[in-house]
Amino acid sequence: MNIRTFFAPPWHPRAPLVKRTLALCALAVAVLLPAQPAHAAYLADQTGKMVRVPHRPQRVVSLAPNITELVFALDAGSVLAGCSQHSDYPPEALRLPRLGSFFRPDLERIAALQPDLCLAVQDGTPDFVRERLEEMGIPVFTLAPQSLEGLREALLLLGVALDRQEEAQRLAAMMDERLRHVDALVAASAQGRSARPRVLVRVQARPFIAAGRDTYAAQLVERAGGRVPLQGSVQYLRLSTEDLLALKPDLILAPEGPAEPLDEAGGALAAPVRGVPEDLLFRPTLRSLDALDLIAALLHREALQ
Amino acid sequence: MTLRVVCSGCVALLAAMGAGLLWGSTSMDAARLLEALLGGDDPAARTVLLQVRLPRVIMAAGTGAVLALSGLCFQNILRNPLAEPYILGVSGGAAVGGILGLLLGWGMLGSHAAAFCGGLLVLFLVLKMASPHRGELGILLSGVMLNAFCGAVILFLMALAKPHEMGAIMFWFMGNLGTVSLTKALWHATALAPGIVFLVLSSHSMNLLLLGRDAALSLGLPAERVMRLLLVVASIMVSSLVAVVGPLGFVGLVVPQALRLAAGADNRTLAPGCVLFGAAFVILCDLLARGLPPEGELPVGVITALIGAPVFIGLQYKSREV
Repeated sequence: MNIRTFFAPPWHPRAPLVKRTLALCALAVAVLLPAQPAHAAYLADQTGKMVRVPHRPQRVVSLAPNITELVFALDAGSVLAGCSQHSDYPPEALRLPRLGSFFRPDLERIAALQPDLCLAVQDGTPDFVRERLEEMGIPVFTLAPQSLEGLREALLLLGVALDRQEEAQRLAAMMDERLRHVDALVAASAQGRSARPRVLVRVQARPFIAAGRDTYAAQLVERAGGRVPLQGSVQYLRLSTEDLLALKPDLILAPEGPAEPLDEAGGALAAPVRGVPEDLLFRPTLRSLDALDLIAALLHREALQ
Repeated sequence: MTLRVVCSGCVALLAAMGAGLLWGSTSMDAARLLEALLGGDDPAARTVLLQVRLPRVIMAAGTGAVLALSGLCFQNILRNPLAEPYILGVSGGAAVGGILGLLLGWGMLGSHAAAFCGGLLVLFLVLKMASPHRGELGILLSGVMLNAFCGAVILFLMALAKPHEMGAIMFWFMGNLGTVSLTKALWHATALAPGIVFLVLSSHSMNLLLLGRDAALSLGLPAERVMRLLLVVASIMVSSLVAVVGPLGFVGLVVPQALRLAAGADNRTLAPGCVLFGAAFVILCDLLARGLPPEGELPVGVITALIGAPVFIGLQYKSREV
């Protein structure tokens, strides 16, 4: 091989075979590579990871009930192609195909839907599910709405990802307004009182299991002007009747729902038990604001009057 | 007999693999899947077949083959029909390592490595702790004790876990074959193949070990060395699998025992039989785990025990009548 044939372009009849083969391979790769969506942008999700999100995604899959609810709140329910098993609010969500549970998503059903965006939650969706979906070329956008601040941030991010920024801004403003209202009520009530009322959130009646200070429900109680009289970072604690009497709660909040009827009066010996709808108390969505109003109303009756 | 077992095993395995690829939680007809397999342009069918079902079938086959074969190996070495990696604490040690990795946030690779080390550490302890005077029984006893200890440690770790970690732990602990991609599944299969071949080729030595240590020695087999080598190879394979799919009980017990009832005690027949029927058994269990519930799926570990125990009791009962 002389120097001229070595530098000849691949289509030249005297170009070396290796060079021609390589050029052919490169051409094949370029032709066969799956076309990327025309408009897609890299967007940081709530964990800080950069995700390639298509412009106005059309087939979105939600892997948690609260995310499904947020998508509907953003008026983007029409782009949902499927959701996780317990997505039951709003009622329209019940018509969507179910894709396995929160902790056990069904990869096959998700893959068969060929979604262009998958919405996952931190501390919920198993890591391997996120990895597998990404390997299949499905972008996974992870949200972390485990606190009221996180919920607000998730709402705004979701608005950007689903191209519903205006709606998201409007909802965030509404959220701020309602939080301000609760804060004002709490401040007004605190003036005439020496200590914040002690509130336990009952997760289960028998045995009595209470939500620890690190849980979302406890955050709602604290924001509504109550105090969860538990120490440590354990999320769910089993308490005996003796413990309950020693903790001297002023109020026990119990989830009211099909799984946990309120007449299971666990803890009634220690304090009055009041029911709050189950979803409102434990599911971080915009309906948490209703829970906040409800708890605040229970705690600050006098201030309200 | 060997030929009959191998042939029927191959048929069972192929049928199970076919079923595993054709059925799943979504209904896709065979023609659509076949077209996708031959390079059709149906992306949904292609993804489901090649990226969801095929890796699962490969992992299930590998898991079944390794668990059944190492169960057989343990039973022969320890000359006890109850011996298997699960009862001897190897799976339990791997489970402790895996859960510890998950709780300490070491990521998937870290917890896999921890599970692998946990399994091998338990084997090391079992071999070290076993009283030399009690022979195989000593190994079995220290294994059972370590397994009980690992069980307690697992419960303790679970009590410390936060709810979202609990979900991940339960997911892995009850067995899940769908966690790896096709490339990784092929990697695992390739890595396990030499171990499987080695154990199958050692079936003659297992026959000799079954006669007892002294008899094997008198027949020219360095019994102690071979025993340790087989235990180590089987445990390495089991630990590396448990690390990925979680501790699956019963397969190592049921498949060799059932085959022994059907085909006699010659390990030269049983070893290839365990590979083929073990693989078919776990593929079918996984298929049921995916297909039985109308929504979501069951952990495969539930199905292996739910089917394995009655089948085994039935076989035992039948053999009593004979």
